[in-house]
Amino acid sequence: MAPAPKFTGASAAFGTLPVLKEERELGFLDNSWINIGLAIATWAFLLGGSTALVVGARDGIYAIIIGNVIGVSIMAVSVCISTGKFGIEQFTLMRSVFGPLGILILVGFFLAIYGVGWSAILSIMFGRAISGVMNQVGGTNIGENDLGVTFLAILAITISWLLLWKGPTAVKWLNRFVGPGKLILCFGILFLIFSHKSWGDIANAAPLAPFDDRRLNFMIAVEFNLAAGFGWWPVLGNISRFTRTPRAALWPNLIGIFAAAVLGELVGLFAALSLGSHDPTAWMIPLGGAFVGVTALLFVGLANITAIVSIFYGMCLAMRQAGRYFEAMPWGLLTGALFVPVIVIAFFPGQIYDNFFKFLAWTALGFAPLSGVTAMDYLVLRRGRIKQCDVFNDGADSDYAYWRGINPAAFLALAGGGLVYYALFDPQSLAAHGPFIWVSASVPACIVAAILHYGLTRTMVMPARRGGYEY
Amino acid sequence: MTIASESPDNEMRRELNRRLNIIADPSYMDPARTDISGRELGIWFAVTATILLGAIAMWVGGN
Repeated sequence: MAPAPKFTGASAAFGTLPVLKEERELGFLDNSWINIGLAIATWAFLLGGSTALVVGARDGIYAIIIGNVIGVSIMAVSVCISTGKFGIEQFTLMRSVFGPLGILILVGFFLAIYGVGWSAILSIMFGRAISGVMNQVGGTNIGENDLGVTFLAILAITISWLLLWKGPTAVKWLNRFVGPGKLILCFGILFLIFSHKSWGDIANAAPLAPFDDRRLNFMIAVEFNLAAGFGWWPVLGNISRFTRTPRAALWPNLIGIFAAAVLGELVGLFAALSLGSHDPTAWMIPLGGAFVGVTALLFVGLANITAIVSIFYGMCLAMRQAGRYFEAMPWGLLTGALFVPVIVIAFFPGQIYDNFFKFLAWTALGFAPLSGVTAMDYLVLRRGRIKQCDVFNDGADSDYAYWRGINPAAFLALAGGGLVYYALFDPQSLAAHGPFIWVSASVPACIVAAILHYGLTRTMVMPARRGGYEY
Repeated sequence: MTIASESPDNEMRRELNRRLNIIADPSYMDPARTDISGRELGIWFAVTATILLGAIAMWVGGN
């Protein structure tokens, strides 16, 4: 009889080790369904709703397509091809770019903000959806920022933790049902919108909170959607890691992430413009009535759970490679510990959830340069070659030790890209500068970071024979 | 999981070494480990560029 698995770093699925052929569970279709399940999640409705803040239906459609296709096309080649090929956990593999200490800094600072922020937003959305159900069915009177929403958000976090405990297989099976269900929800909402309103009504509906300049509004909408596309960077690598072919690692991003996200966001855009609210939990009952609305809200809650699980799966794997303190920690304990800050944030539902679009813009300031740096590093500088044993080697003899475990070239490139972003677009005030209305902020940030990384690596890292670029 | 862990012969290090040895074996065949072709990458960017240019053209045309 085979020994019971110990869910520590020794298991590839729950750890950082390279997966073997027999452990690659995802074919083209499975990966597509997982991506659809992720992309069409309720965050797509939130993004569509945020787009409706600044643009109407016609401009919104193009902004959603343009932003997502640029973001997804660069993000996918920057992370999914390499993790799919080597089967190594994404942040462990990224030691080849940033160094072992460098990736720790990246995970601790950046990924923590991203994972905790998104999970908090989704759990609060779960809280608002279920409180809407309780208000409708149970006659309660829970306000959108009441403590009841917080307690329901904590319930979402608890369920997510239990599911996460079961690992990627649980997510895979759940998404086989939830993925198609979310497609049905999208088409159902579209049907209900267009049974109440004509296309003319929606097309003529004014944006909810636009700025004075129409061109600026359009580019801000594109920027939100670029942020959405680039924002998949920390999530998808640890899924494509389990794919069986390079094709299955790459193309589902277009079918699943791009196409499904566009569909979900369009639903959000049209619903927000029709109903005058950017909050998806406020749409369902006015659109579908009590029964349909309550059913839809319950499903929104379930869909949010799958999204939280997916985000946290990647985050926990990232922590695994953070060092010996985490690698031997039981999976359940590690995942539970990382949910603690989400619980704290859930006590401030209004401040987090209603400023969602600012959070989105801040994440783009990081992920657009990250996508540029990692794509340039793997595809151009390394031409797809990574010394796998050195990725797991903390010692000074590792090719990826760089200087004291940090690759300054990659961090300088990231900083350069981030500064370009901030110079063009302030994520906090949404103030735009210079050529933002022509080129956005994420695209120049991504390109500048990639070029900087190339130049610094050629002039500083390679002459010092660090980074294993000659491998 | 790192080779330079404090305990030099723990379960995870042995498992890592086992996997790296399997992967390093020249006879080990895993279709996922083949490099994506330049042609396929070209098609990827051609398809996404077509979608992008189509959307921009329609937006410009609508204005």
